[in-house]
Amino acid sequence: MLALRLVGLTLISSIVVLFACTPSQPATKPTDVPKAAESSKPVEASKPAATAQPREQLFRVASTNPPVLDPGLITDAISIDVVNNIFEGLVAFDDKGTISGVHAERWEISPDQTTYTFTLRQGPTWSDGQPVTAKDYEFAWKRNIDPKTASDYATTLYPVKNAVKINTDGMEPSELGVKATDDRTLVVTLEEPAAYFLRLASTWTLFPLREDIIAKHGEKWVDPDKIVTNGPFLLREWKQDAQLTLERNDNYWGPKPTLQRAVYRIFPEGGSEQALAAYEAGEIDSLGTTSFQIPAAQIGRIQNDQKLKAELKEYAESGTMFITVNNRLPHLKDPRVRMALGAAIDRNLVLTQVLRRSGTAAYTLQPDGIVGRKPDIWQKEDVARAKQLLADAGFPEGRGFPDLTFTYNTSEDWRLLGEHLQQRWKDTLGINVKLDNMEFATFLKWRRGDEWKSLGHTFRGGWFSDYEDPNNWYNVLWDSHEDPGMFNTGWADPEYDQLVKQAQSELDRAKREQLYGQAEEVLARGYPAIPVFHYGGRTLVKSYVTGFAPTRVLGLVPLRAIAIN
Amino acid sequence: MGQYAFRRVLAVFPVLLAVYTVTFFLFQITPGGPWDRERPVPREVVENLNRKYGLDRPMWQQYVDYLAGVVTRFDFGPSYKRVSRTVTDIIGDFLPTSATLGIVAVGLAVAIGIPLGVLSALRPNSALDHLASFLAVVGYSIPSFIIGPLLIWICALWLGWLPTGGADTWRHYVLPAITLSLAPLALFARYTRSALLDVTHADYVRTARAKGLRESMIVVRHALRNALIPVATIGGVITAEIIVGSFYVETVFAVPGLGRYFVTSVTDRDYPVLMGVTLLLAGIVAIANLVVDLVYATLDPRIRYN
Repeated sequence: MLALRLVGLTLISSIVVLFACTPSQPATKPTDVPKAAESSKPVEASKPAATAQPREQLFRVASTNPPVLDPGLITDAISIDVVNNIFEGLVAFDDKGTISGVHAERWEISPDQTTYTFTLRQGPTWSDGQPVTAKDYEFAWKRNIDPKTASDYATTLYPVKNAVKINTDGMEPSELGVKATDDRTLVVTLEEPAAYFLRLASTWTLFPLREDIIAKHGEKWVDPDKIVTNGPFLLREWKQDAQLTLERNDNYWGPKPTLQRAVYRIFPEGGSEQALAAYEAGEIDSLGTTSFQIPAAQIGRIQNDQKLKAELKEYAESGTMFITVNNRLPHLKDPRVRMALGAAIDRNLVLTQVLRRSGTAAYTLQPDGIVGRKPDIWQKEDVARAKQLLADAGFPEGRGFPDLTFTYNTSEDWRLLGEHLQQRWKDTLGINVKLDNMEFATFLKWRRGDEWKSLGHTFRGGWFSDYEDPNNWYNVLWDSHEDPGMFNTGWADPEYDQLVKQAQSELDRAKREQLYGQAEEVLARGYPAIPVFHYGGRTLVKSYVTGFAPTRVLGLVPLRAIAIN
Repeated sequence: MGQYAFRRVLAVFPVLLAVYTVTFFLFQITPGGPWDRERPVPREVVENLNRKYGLDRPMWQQYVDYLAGVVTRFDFGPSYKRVSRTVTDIIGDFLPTSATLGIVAVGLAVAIGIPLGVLSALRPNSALDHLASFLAVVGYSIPSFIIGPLLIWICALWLGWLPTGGADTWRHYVLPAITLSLAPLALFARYTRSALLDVTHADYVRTARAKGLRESMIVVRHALRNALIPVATIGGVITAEIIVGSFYVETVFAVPGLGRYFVTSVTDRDYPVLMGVTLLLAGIVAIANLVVDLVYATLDPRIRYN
């Protein structure tokens, strides 16, 4: 009996001690605790310790499971990131906008700018040894524009002759304006001049594909034992939901990457805490860019930790978060109302205190890198001016202004933003704000529906560049013909439509920039949506990793630049 | 008994059909579809996608075609989101991991929970009993997404004994299995205890005591069998739910299991996957109930099926 009591007491006390010792924030983390030589990888070099031995050229990064690896069918950043490392195409752009030929040795553009003739270089081969030919490009483009393939990004091919009719009107895919006149020559005919076509040629939907492999295996051709690729890395292994392994392609025609192997360690969606724990335990070398943000609750701790702070990496992203406004409703029709709402927001406060994420305040809808952008002509933050604008529009101190609804898809971050806006607009403008949230897929559907058109007020919106060209912003988003299928703002300006249509086919660079600049002025006056911040990424990368340089578009990480010290 | 079991197995199919019909109906009335993306997809592309997956056919035809596929070819369709994978691929890949984890967790819960309940019942209102009750309440109330990270922090980050997540070696299963087992353990302990206490007042136990048998002998050999009936009842349902994978635990420990597909296939509106896992769960629950009923017959000879 006594023994039992003692056992019980010991148990109780140890549990109490256990719970008492759980700090709300792990204050001390002994970083030099000798870890067990445990690794979750089957073949693994020694743990990264502060020794002098050279590290294996292995890069381990956190990721979510890429849904698709077929370049013609991908839609999300994770898949694009992997595909960009194992496949490549005609040309590529760097962050400064300089074009370089990848498979294309040179290209000629006809005087009327509708015909592009690409000469492919000798050397690039597929992973099974076959040379990459112009026919592989012809096949890939025709296959991706085929409505039966149902590619989400088929629109990337729309500038090509007959593409729209094939994809939407039943014309035969063989009629597409692309032809391989011989193994090394690809002739592309466009519907009309399009200055941004080369940008499109650098994207994944225009990568080459192997007709025989796809014919043989159907949709399963992307399995690691069947896939055939042409990039600097090979898909070695893909254990679904667990890990994806890439290996250096030793037969790559160009400069061989330093990295020997890259492991994408897969975590479930929303598993940023798990990824962070694995990073701190040394199981991965980076938190990655496409899948996980550093959890807001941990930022403080990380910034106070010397070692972790040095491993933080911030990078710019080509994207803007904005608040979409329904321009049709009587109380939101007046641009002064929309400008008042925009001028009342303290954007730096939103970034540093509310959302605690990296990024920069946005006054224009277009992010840095988009030609035509003129942040200076857009209004800045000014509460007094905001009040004045609202009064001028007929709602002094918010009197008479109906309750404003802000809708967002259910997520912690957007809820924080919504609550902040609620308070902010009430304090500065006297406007009452109601919050409404819905599950993501429902939210997307609602945005395009009739209920939004007649009843909706504002919603959480944003856009990321698919390619860094003004076309991807000015034409695709705010042209009144595209608007219903995009953000459905109901804003329309015939002068704007005309300017951007003209700019789209304008080939003289200076003239094009001027036209888009004029369109920017119309946008700044019309203020169809409220820019809040330009996205910026922030991740953790171990100090022994060099060359980690996420691209501004989509934050992709080219593995060929990475080396381990 | 064999006949009875066979009839019960047959009865599973109408249940599955009903589940299929209700789920299909829910798909149709829930707003949002599989092609809704942040980046708006042009109408023509949506039409192409619908045509590719047969979503442009009339509703009754989709209902019948899919059912025919399941019944004749065991084909639950392709995943809308993971284009190169079929539902059978996904279930085949991940169910074993979830099931292993689940079986280990239930095994732990049974191996620790039932003896704990027995000990509590042997010495009701003693210090041990109170301690066991306390542990049971703790195990049951604290959610898995709090205990999980706590265990990770202690055992993986601080002590470095175990990995933080994944599922490659047996070590990876330790923490998730413990986390998963806590709530069932608590339930088993409490149910065993109260059932046993009930039974100890029964006549046949009094007889055994009067005969002078040792208390522990009475409990284990005579009383326990009957006390296990309520435990078997909840055990069946718990096992069925745990085997198909727990969303929380699998997320917290990054275990590649089937549990998270129950949730992500809803947000993705990945109908074939959602239908597949729903039918799977329904089937497993039905079978689990059958197993429980058969277990009753072994536990209590008074129960007969014909």
